[in-house]
Amino acid sequence: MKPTVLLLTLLVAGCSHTPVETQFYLLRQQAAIESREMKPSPDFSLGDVSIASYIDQPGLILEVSPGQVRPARHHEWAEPMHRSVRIFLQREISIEFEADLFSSRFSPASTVVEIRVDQLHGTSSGEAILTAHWWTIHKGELKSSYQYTSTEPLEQDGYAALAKAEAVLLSGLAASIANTLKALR
Amino acid sequence: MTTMKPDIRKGKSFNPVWIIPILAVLLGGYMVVHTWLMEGPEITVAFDTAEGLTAGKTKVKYRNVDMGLVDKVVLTDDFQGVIAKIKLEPQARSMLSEDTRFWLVTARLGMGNISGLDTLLSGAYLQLAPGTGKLGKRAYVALETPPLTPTGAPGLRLQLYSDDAGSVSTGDSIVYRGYKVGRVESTRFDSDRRQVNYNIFIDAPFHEFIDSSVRFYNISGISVNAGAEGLEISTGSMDTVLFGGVTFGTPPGIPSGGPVEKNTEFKLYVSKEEAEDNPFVHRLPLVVRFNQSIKGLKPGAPVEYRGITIGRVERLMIRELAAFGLMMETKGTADSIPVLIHIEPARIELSDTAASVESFRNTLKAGVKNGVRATLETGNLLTGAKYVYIDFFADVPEASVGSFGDYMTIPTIAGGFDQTLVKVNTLLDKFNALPLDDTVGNTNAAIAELDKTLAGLRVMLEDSSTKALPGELKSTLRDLQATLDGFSPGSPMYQSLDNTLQELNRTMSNVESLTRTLSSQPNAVIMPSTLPTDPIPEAKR
Repeated sequence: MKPTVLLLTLLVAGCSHTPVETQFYLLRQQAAIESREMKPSPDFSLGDVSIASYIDQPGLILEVSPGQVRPARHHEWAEPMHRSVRIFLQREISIEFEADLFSSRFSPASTVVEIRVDQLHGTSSGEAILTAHWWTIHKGELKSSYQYTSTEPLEQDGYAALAKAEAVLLSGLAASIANTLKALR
Repeated sequence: MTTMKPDIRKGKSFNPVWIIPILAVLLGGYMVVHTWLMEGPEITVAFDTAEGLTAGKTKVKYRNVDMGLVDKVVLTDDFQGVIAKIKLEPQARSMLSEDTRFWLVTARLGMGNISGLDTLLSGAYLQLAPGTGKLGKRAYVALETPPLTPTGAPGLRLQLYSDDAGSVSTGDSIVYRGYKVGRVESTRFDSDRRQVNYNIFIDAPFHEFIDSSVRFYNISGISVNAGAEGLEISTGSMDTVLFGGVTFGTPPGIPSGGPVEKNTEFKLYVSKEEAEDNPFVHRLPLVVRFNQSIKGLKPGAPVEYRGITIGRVERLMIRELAAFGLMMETKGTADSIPVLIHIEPARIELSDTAASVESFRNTLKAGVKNGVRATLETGNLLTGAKYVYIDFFADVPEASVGSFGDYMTIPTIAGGFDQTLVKVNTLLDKFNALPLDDTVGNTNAAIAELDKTLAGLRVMLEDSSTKALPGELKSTLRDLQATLDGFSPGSPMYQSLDNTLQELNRTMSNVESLTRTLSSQPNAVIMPSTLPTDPIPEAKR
């Protein structure tokens, strides 16, 4: 009897482990959102916002060596990136542009802005990197296209700092787009 | 008394006094041989005239090196020419073979070039061209003009002959696909054959293009040909346009021939068309007799079968018509004009043999029974040129092949414009035969019936139930639009569907993560995970 109890005790002890808690990060702008009436831009609307496939997964992406990335298992975005990146950019551009950029499905604006994020991850050198392309389409014809790339150093170690740096980079992209739209307006 | 015996001694066999004459003879012989060897050969060269020749002054040159001097110029015994006696350098002895050539180099102005300008200042000289034949010849006849091809040049010398000199003359180029490969060396009229003979030379390695199937033709000037096959303009290179030239090639469809020996004779055709026109040896001559105007039909016009040229018109048999027509006048055939044509079975991929001709003859005999007829067609509306067209025709009276003199004949039918006239007349006859009065009456009845139908349609359209149809249709479309709006972006149904898909995506992502974990650690479900922890992003230090 005693050996059986001892074996079961060992098995239970072997199977038991302390689960690592998963951290979730929300991609939202830092500025406070006030209640106001939205003013849709009469000139521009937001079309497709696409992101590279390797970004569109729950875990935050970290480059562990040149050309090799690893999605974090215990540090995930709180919502799908293809949804949160679009919401984030739409709101950030609207703030910088001083007019709300509605979805092209609902906006009568004749010029559509489309964005593609090609790179968004942490680097092994302690930075976050963002590479994106965006272009404007006027009545079905491509009118102008742009490329944006930037890096942001992490304030401290950890994935929270990486998520924050990526948000700063997306804010910079939104500001660049908004400034260009102002010039085109 | 003693007897005295003479003391007989053998005298000296050689008296030293002879040494002097022998030495003199040997020395003399040596001097003769030496002089002969050092003197060089003496030769004679015959000319028509001594123009340009000056004794003691005119030099003989080879590659611009002085090889001798004209020693004396004398008239021939019959006073018909002059003979230049020439002393050559000893080195020239090995150049004097049976085919060595001499000619006088003076300033010459030709059609294509100017040569010998340097002799205007230095005076004329004799050019020597060494030969390769048997050595020892000492009497030569000078060439009237400089040879165009160096002696011993690699290549092939051929003979061309034609009935007319045309525009080909000595010095003209032989070109192959526009590239000069030889030249006409000389031209002469062969009084025996009453033809013009051309001596041509094809340079190596182009002489390998010459075989027994090759045909030479004149490409001088610009050729404009308006025939039944249309207007055709052809020219050679500028050189051949200005100065004349000859080219060669194998007619299409003719296999390559065998090798040819030097001085083989070829016919020089007037044009490419003539060269390619009669590439076949075996022909089937036929006579076709037309009961219509043959204006525009000329010798050389094509004979076609369904667009394929199978032969040519040989000639219009006017002479035979006169004799034959008088004889056949009573049978009413004197008004048809016989035309001699020939068909070449090899044009339709049959072998160029007599057997093919016989086979084609038999085929034609059977074909005539089945409707094969010859007709005249207009090939070129601009020039009015005609050609003979052979084909199967339906609804033609039965006929068979006949004969005209020694030739087989095939029946003809009216063709071209004449046939069109017949068709127009037939059409007019049919039009006249139409029951127009009855047709107009029937048409009026049909129009009255149509009026009744339209009146009924008007009543139906004015009916209230018919008028209500558009309203109902509009209502149905509105309902359909409302239904579709329920699925449009932003609608509750769309949002619900979108949320469901998002949940499904997240679930699939989790499943993917689980699958990845299980693939790397299959016992992860019951055992603690030993997967590595996430690497920590490190800020810059």
